[in-house]
Amino acid sequence: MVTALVTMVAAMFTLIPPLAMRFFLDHVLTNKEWRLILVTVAIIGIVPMVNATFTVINRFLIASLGQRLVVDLRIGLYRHVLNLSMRFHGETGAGPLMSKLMTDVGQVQALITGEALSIFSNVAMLLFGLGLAFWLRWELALVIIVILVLYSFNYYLFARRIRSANLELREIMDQVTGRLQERLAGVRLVKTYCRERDETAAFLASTDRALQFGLRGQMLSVSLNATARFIGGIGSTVVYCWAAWFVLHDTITYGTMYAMDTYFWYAVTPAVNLTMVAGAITQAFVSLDRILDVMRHRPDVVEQPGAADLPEDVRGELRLEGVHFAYGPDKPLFAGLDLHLPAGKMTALVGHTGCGKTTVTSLLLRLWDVQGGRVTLDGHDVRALTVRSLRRHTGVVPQEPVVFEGTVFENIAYADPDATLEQAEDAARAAQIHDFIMTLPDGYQTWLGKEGAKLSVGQKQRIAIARAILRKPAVLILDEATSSLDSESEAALQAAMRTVLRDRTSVVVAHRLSTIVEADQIVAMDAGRVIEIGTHDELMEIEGGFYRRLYEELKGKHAGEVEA
Amino acid sequence: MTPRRPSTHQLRLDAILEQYRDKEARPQAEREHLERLWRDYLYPLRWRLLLAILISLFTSMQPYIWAYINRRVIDDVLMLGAVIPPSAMDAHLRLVILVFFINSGFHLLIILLSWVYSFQITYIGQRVVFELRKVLHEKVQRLPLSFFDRTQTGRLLTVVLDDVGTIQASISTVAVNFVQQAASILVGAAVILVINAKLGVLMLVALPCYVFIFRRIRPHIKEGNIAARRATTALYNRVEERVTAVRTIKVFGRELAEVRAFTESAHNLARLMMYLVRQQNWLTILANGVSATAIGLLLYWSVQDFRAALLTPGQVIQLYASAGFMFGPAVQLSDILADVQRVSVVLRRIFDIVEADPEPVDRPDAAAIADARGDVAFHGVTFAYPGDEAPTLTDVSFAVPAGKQVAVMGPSGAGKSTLLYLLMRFYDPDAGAVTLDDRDLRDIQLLHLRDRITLVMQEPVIFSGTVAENIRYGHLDAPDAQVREAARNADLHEFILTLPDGYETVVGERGMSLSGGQRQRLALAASLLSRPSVLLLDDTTSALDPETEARVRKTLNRIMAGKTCFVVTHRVSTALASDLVLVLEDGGVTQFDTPHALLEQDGLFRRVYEQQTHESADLASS
Repeated sequence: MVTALVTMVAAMFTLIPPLAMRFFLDHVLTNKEWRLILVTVAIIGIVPMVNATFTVINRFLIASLGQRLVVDLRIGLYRHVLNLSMRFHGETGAGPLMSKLMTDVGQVQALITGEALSIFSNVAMLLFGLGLAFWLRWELALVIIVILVLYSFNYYLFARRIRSANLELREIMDQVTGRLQERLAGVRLVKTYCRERDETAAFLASTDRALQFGLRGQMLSVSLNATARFIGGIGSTVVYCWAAWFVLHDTITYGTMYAMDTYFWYAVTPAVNLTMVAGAITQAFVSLDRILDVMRHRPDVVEQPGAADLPEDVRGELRLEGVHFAYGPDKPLFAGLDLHLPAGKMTALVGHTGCGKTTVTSLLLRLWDVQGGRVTLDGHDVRALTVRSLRRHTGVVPQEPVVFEGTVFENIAYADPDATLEQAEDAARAAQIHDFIMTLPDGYQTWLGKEGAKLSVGQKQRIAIARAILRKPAVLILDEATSSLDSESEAALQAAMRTVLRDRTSVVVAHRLSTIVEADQIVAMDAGRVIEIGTHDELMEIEGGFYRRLYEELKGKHAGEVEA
Repeated sequence: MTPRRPSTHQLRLDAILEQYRDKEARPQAEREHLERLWRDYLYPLRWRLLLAILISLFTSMQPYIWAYINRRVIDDVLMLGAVIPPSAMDAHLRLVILVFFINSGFHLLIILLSWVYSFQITYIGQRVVFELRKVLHEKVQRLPLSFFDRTQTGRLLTVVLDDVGTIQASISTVAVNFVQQAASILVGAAVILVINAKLGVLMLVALPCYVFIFRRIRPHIKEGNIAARRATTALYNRVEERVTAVRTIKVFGRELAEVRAFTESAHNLARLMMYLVRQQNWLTILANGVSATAIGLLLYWSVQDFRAALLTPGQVIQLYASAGFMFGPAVQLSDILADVQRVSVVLRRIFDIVEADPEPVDRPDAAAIADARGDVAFHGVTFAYPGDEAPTLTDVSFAVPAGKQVAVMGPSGAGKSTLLYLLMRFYDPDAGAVTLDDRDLRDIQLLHLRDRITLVMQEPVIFSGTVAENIRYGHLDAPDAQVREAARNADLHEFILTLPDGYETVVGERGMSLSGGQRQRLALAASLLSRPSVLLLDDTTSALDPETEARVRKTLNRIMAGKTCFVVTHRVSTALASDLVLVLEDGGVTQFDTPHALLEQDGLFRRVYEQQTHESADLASS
């Protein structure tokens, strides 16, 4: 409110200098009232200073308002998105979307603090300028109105064509960007087939097309601008000469003529500005729409009122009882799934891709909520627990390990910011990564690039394992955690993990036989159902059983030809 | 450059500025880059540039001409302060009409000229952008893979598209406006000096003061701008990284801490923005102070001269108007300096790429080879990745006769993939030589070499386009029959026929998504199209689930027959089915023999064998 008021007052103040000048011209230059020299010159000198002061105050108010807004919006958006459930994040991740959204927030802020307020000042300028022109000489003010009408006509004549040229340009540029991105990411393939020259030719062809549209769009804008300036120029000439005519007939003074000339531009310039504001507003509304779209999503994993913390001595007994779950309306996965994961034991989940192994682990972690039935930890429904305490006692190593930009230590200690270096080292030793870390230039303080650019997948996996075991969770979930390791490293890791996993409930999703065979309990799953449960030996007894067939398959993959 | 995470909650402002300071600036190089921009890109367009400059010189005088016409109107037509005799009235009214036509004509002329000017400037901008993108793209394609290992794709993309766009926007303003603004100031000063020397001197004192203020405050604004931009990028990158990994954040229950860290960065950014506003405010106040004082003094003295009948009323107003026009260009002149800075930052990024060492080019006497038997040998090859101290491969020597299959084994980081890359000649060895049919790879034309040797990567790359386009990627002119044959060989033909549009089905990011096995087969089909003599498979099947892997492997076994093949693998089963096994450890060959001979030896191969057969031993016992 205050800001808008200041804007209005500032706009009003800019109208003073022409009046001061008019007074000076009429009284000093024409009527030679010498005693007024100092006063008028002082006014002419001081008013711009006052104006500048207003501008400065105004800018400060707008900026602080805008920054407060943008900070709040960004934080709100970020918090909201982090709390949104996995359903929103999907498989590909919403990271790139978020980065775009942050830019959108900037756009909206620019709209609210820049454009929206400039509408105020522009409209104020236009109305005041026009009003003063009418007060000075209504015939001349009418010329201004005619010019404004011509202006808007001219604008609508060009606007559509400019927009369509720009749209086409954007489409082509999208294609160019997409193709370039793909080719850069797949540069090895390009090189493998020696297609560098063709790629450049194709790129240039589309760039050339983009440039032509760009040129057309720009020249249309230039033409719009030129015609607008021409209309304005002719208008001001009419006002100027007509006013001179009045001066000669002694109906107005030269001072009025001078002021008219200035007010002409005061009224016309805001009109041009407003058309530009219109474009910016459309742009900002697109951004606002995208932001609101995300804000409308409600997290579906919500902490219930009165949710309790888990008691400290978690045994780690997990149960799925009559669980119903679907990723989408047409993708039912579980219909009444029952599963018991005994405390302190290792359970292996096996089955073909898409049978629901990873989903079981996500439900245990409450990354998703079940749609029917319940999941319990030590007999507590996970929905009745605080999300914090649930996740405090569970650790997970995902299929695709995540390494953040930061030091090795920060990455391992991500699980527990209070962890000491010794604790991190212990975890790293257990994950068989300590020796490697010690070969890095700064050891645990080595800075890992974006997404851990300096590490191999196997190394990232071991960092992720170290992170998961740092907290000594009661339940540890390993989802294909070692798939990218070579056999020797994996064997070493498994030996180490055996100690870590002792007396801990663990859930392992794996394709590797050595891991599966050791499990206390094997759960064979197919298409969202549990087919068989038992130890390796028990399951192998079942003639023609599902697990037995699966086992043969896996064995064939690993070592079939060893036997041969 | 990535800013480290701030450690304390409330950083001091200068600490924030320091954190995001551009630490890569090199003034000397900036100069060279600008010169190069002129020499290579602008000089060919010099006549258009000259035309634009000439027009802008004329238009820069426009306000002074207006001021002059106005003065003549005041003194000769309106005769301010004097009385026009009734007899002369008609003549004066006719003069008004004349002024109308002069002014209108002048407007028309100016607008036509500025249209021509805009066209030239736009054209120059577009042309330079085109040339720059061309050079960049050609260069990027010719860069060695080591460059891509070091540089993120996103950054390259930004340079080729956005940075070049920035150049387009500012190049013309930088080149033309400088001349225009300088001329404008000179003309203004001349006008005032001619009318009244004393006032001319006043302006010559005021303008430097004015410019001085700008020169003092501008660097702060520039610094703040750069810091703000970098802080923004850092913030966005962080958001992208974290939100992509939201699963990890949730699993460890770190949402609150993440929001707190984000809040801190967002606040720092906001404080930077406010710092910028404060600096701009200072500038506004001081600059306005100087210009208002100067103009006020000018008006006061010119009125005194008018009182002494040294000046006409028209001249007083002309002086007042002209003085006002001079401050604008003075400001813009310092703006241009900022523009130059911006352009040189962008130029630095562009020329960094253009100047990066390109991939080795063919020697002039490099041979064209139509076919190859497929004998492959490494002779004492040592290779280190650029920027690495320790070599990845050290003195590697071995020879593989044509048609043999070699399983390459070893722990991760031993140099297995590097071995394949050297064979593809993605890199050249630092010492020793790689040969194909006893010919140094460097003596073979790259195009022919990569036609005979082909690589299938661990994660196959599929481009947006039709299935046929993807298969044909290496040989655009391959006939349909050959494409089908390749697809059949890769066991993909049947599947393709089930697709809605068969071979013309669009796949990739904008089309149908394919499963891992299908992608792998599509990549295989593309590599089979040229019927290569040497096939390199980089751990091609490990990312697949067991079912798919079994199927792809069956296909592979059939394809590999009769070709020299290098297969990077972790699986003993694959190794046992090969003719030879090459074991790499720490960048050196530790074992190289037939798999059965290696089983007799102590070493990595037997250890791995024992581990993996332990699993099937379990089966035997059960």
